[in-house]
Amino acid sequence: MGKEKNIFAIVLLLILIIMVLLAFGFNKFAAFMPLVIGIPAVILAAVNIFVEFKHDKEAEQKGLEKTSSKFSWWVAHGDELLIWFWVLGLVILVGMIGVLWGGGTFLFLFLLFKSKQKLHISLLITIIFMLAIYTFLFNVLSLKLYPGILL
Amino acid sequence: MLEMLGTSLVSALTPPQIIYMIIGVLFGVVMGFIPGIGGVFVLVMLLPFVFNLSTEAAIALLISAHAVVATGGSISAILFGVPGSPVNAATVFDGYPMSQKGQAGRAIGVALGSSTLGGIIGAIVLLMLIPVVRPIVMSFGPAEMLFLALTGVSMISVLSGSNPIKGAIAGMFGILISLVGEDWVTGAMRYTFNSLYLWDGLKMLPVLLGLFAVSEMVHLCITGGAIAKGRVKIEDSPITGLLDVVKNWWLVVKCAVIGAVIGIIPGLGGDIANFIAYGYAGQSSGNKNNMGTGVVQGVLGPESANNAKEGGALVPTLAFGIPGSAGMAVLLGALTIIGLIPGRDLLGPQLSSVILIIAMLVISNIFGAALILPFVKYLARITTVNVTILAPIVLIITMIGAFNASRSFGDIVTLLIFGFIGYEMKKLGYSRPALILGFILGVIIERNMWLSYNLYGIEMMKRPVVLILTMLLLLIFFGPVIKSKMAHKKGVI
Repeated sequence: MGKEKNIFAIVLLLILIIMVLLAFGFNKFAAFMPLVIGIPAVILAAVNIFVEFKHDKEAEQKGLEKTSSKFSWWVAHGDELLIWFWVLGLVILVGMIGVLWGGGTFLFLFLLFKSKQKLHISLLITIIFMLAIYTFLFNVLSLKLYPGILL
Repeated sequence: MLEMLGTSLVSALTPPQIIYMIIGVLFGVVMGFIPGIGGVFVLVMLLPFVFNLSTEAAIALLISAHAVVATGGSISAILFGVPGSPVNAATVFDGYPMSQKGQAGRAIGVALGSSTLGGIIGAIVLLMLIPVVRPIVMSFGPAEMLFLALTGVSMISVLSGSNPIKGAIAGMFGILISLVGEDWVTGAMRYTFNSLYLWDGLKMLPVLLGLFAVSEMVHLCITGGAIAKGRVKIEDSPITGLLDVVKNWWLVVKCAVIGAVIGIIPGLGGDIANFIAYGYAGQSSGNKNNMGTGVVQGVLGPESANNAKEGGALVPTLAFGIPGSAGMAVLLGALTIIGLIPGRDLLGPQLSSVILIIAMLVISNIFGAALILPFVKYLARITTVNVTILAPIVLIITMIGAFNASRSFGDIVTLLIFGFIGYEMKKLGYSRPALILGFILGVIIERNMWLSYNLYGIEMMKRPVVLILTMLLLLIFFGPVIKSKMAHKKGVI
């Protein structure tokens, strides 16, 4: 967690620095608020990184945290990565074939492979869900469902 | 006026009005439950049906539906950590941890009790303010709104939890990303990177749903099991929650007044009412350090405020025809359709219709809670369902809700990006509530800062309400320091 915490803090600091640097290119009225908020935010983010590093060093000296190997990183983050791939898959499916079909395909595959439900149960839940979405949200409420770029 | 209130109550309780109210409440609660569908959508959906209705029936349908949207949204916020709309965002902070502790029934009981009481108080505020409303609304210019928004920013300290530095960073980051898009003053593009989607700025809904709903669902999928963690006893009865509301009735009243007052101010947006009430509930209950861990006060504060704000928001809408929010603008249009002209007419010859609106607010809030109460037991059981079945369904519904923010694929990408940011923030101890509060207040602060500077210059500091709010701000910032110094002095003596 220590390494991940530091990476996130550094990325956040970089984003804030970029936002401040970009703000210098705006005219003075448009730049006022980003600079008034951004500069203290950069300072605080830098302080935060310093505090995190100090805390990690102290913990390392006490032997609380060991440098993690490549193998233990995969053990710790493998599940996380897998779930994020699922979510990314959902976004790609929705982008390609729309919310109704993309969402339905995702639900079926997720139930079958991740949730380890039986084939007929996965299929049944997916069909009920798609029908509910189509009838209630699309037909009754006339909600716009993203159609996808292929359909 | 009391006689008129009695007549309106009788008129509200006639069979046709009751039927329309039931339809309105059912529609409002169900729509509120679905993430991304707010009060505006509910009113727009009902608008075509009011043309052929009598004035009383139309009021019954519209007001009852609009009044209970926040109540419906609180249920998804508590059960899944997915706020139905931005007004339910603060309910997630403690409502969802209560569900994880197996207290979903209790949390929903607290939400229903405080929402009902809040809604009634909001209606009472509306009733009391009608004769004196003009100077109150008129006293709020951009300078006052700026300082009220700054008071809201001070709540970041309450929302930061145990790490004030990370909370402040999150709040500032929230303000910065609220500045994405076309600058309101100069028309310059900020942080848009030539993307047409970003010209209008980041939309509230995908950011909110990403930070809370997506991150929470991903987290649940990783941890596995059910929402109610471990072998906790599922407390599915809402009675304990209702008793909590009775025990904390004074706090509920105070938060409702906060909500109603914020609702009155046009342009401030009711979205911040629940955050300010949350912060206040934490500070005044002495439970500040435990906020976010599943504390009752963290649910009843925002819930009472977000229902009370509807009563407050009706004050400028009915009295001057100034809608304080998009929802009120639609309602204003609907009232005009049924022949009610806001302003002098509505407060004069048509006063009975205003009283009917107030009566409907009260009755529909009570009725909304009564309608949900019998189902709380079953709703609470959802928290025991395996999350790998729930999560994909919630994710897809969240995506549909987010997409309807601007009906662009950019909404879905924003949802994904903020889902990831929210997940990392949750894991690494950064306050997501602070970020969302900064995001809501950033634009309000910037717009009102330039407006008040151009209108009043430095003279704005001499305005009475600004002076009061400045003192309040100083008290919030330095109060704890002075208090601890005094306590330390007492200890030494």
